[in-house]
Amino acid sequence: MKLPKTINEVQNGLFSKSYTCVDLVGVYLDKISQKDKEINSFLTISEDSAYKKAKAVDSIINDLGEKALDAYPLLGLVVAHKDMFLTKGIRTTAGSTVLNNFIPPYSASIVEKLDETGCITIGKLNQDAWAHGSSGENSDFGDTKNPNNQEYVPGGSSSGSAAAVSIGFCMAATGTDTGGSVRQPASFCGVVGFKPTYGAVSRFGVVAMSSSFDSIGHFTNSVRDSELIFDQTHFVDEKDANLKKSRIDKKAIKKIGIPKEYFTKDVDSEILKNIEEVIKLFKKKGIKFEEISLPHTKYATSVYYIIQPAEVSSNLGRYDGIRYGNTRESFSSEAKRRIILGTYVLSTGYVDKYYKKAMKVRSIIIDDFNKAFSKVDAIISPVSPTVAFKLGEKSSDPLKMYLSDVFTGSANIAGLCGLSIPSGININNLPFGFQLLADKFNESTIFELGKLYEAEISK
Amino acid sequence: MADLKDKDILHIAKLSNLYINNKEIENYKKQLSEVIDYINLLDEVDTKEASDTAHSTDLSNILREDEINASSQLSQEEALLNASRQHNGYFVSKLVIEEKDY
Repeated sequence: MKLPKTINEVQNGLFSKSYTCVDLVGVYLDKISQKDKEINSFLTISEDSAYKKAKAVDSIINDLGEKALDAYPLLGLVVAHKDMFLTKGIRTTAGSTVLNNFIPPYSASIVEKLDETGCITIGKLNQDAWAHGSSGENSDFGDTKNPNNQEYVPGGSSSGSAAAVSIGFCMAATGTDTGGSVRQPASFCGVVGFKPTYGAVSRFGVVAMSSSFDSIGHFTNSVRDSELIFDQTHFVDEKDANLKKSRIDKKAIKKIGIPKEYFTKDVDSEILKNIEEVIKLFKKKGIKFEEISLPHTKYATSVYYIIQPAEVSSNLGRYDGIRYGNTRESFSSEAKRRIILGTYVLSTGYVDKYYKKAMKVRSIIIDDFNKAFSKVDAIISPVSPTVAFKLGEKSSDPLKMYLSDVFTGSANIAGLCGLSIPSGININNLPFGFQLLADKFNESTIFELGKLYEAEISK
Repeated sequence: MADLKDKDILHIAKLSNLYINNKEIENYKKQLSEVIDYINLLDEVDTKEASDTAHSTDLSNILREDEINASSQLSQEEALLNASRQHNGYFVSKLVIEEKDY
């Protein structure tokens, strides 16, 4: 049986009785058991509960037929969750030895929501521990490989999520995007990666990394699927106090901005050339482009690597080894590095120079985007200056690794929504994509543009 | 060039309740000095007129009624499920405060 790639395909398959949901889950599990030894994308596979849910889905289809979609719009979607997402009764590690035996007594709000809409959870995915990383090499459970070329990283921190969707171990996967951790691995693995506006999707039950940047996103094979999932994850949840149900209605997209600071000689020429083609494609559909400036782009990484470690040092304070988890000796080096950096920038004598200064530069960066969005409806840019790098290439140089977030971090600083859309593949079979950003709560703009691109490409 | 000393790392490790061995002190001193050098870049930015941003939504002080919501509660059993040690329904921790006779 050929695995379907989109929600529409799987629902057609199930309703036409080409296969049952139990068959479908069986095929995914087989594939995982054959190939995941090499890729190392899963940390826990929830086979029993997946089959149980699959049987329930088959009953619903038998009883209600297509009317089932009213109550269960994502019926039949096999998903896996980044191990930052608490799943009741299913081990959740956040990629760290500290939690290697942790069984959550409750599930994250969006895990529950996806479950309620008819999804089948097949397992928990590998990641950089505590979401600290841009390659997958900081996992305490071994590196995940890029399925497109196993000598290369899949990107991070949602490494397992990107890899699993890319190779087809599941149809969608959740991720967290705090500085680019959904968009960058999506680009490196050739799948669609979505970051919602900060405050659009509930963070309840997701292990907190950096609380003013954490965004709950997901990976899919198509932009349309990304939108369908966001339609479900964007709901009012009282358990997350920093949530807004705003959503700007679809509006005419007239102009896309090209920020000159993102198109520098540091970007692979192949990626730049590819974006030129993408721009041409949009121009043919009547969309105008304008060069814009985001003048404080060069300070974004500094702002991010002050505020984020500060928030991390606070959030990781709860892991005391008393109420849950192992003791703090189990933290690996990157977590300790960030806790130390964060504590330093918050400490007496340094808090004004670093943390408070960063909060002010953050306001200035937000202003840059506000000015830009008064002129354009969306912004286009590379996701990363390069395609995936080789395993081991950056892992011993933390600063080099941090600097690779240059094009994704600003969206987290400003709380914007973003989409990474696959658009090319290089000579080493390494994919890459382009990034679309829109102002807060304007997800419909980036979804419309993404769907437009996909429709044109498939002609 | 930022020049973190052993005592800086040890002081911070103590503040954040982390255990660092000697080899780690050497690594962190070097790596963190490099990062701090990099983040000093913010000195270039004129922030005299800028306000602070803590987070990007305009929400603040979102409160709820002080009522028990059963669906948001864990039972004592659930809460103790992952405890390394428990005693009579309590978490067990290391001694923090000692009793002294004065």
